[in-house]
Amino acid sequence: VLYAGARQLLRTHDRDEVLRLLRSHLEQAVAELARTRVFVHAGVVGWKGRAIVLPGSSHAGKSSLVAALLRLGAEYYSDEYAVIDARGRVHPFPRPLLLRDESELGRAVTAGDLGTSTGRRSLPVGIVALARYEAGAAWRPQTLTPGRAVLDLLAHTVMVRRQPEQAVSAFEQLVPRSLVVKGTRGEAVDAARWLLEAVEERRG
Amino acid sequence: MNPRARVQGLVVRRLKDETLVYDLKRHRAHCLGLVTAEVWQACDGARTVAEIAAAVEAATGHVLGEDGVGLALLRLERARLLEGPRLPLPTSPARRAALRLLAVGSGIAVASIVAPTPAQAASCTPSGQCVVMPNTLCTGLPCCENVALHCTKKANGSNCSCN
Repeated sequence: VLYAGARQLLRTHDRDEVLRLLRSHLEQAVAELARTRVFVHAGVVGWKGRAIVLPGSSHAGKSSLVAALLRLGAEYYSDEYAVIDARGRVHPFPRPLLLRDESELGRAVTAGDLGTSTGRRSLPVGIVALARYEAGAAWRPQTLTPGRAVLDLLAHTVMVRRQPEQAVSAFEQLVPRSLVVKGTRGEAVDAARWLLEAVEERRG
Repeated sequence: MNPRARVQGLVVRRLKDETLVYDLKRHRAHCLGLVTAEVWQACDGARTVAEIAAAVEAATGHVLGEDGVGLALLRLERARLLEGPRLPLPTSPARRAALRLLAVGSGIAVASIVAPTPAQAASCTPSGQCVVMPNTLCTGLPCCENVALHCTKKANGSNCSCN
């Protein structure tokens, strides 16, 4: 039996079921109560020593884009939270990816399943891409100004209501050193290729 | 009464030409463009609208005029960034249309968001998707339509459900 405070969440003989729900609760609690890191609802991969951060609402297509980036060789960091420190660097939060494609509904896969590895070190951010899936859309993102970039990051920050100053301070470090873009995308692989090339171009 | 900028309960940061404002009371964040931010800063309760227009022109080189300042004040008021009694809204459709036209060319802008709750900034499973998952793949995530429920195994069922 699994409780959250006085509320019974689950009663089952299935140990895996209990552990899955417990993990989901623990992850949310850590994201909400963290004091020294800012948790942004986002997918994250590493490429050529830079992080690509993909903030988005649930079902905006983050996991599909993360999976496409991993298939192209990027290192896995997270498909749930970008964990950002006071210097604006991103740390790994590598839980298994939860794919939601019709053919793979609910299937959890690891970076290894997709032929790549999981990042271990914190990375500076190269690109933040707010990419929303829309069938048939072409990926032609617009670059956001620093103020709009911080605003869009705040819109996906878990503890923003409790610690807004901490979140804004972290984003003040991150945004000036990164390219922040926003747009709608169609096929994940097209946007993924664009993002990897953009990181390489910025590195010069 | 001359307009006065609200100062209490706000986190304010300057980011190049923009100003970011987080409202600690309403949990809304706003991004003010350069001109709007200058209008806001000039609202000290002593300056008239004409004097604010002059102050903004001196600071930025933008000639707003009283109409432009009036429009910026309406935007700032809508974002609850001014103190005191509400400003009178333009009543005639022609006047409102003129102000909208002015807004397009003048860069008078306030972009706003509502800060998410922790549950809003987390993954969830739509109940329609949850109930078609085989019960070996239940996500354990909150259900999007009611985050107090989670997508878990349904007793004696072959599929998951929001419980």
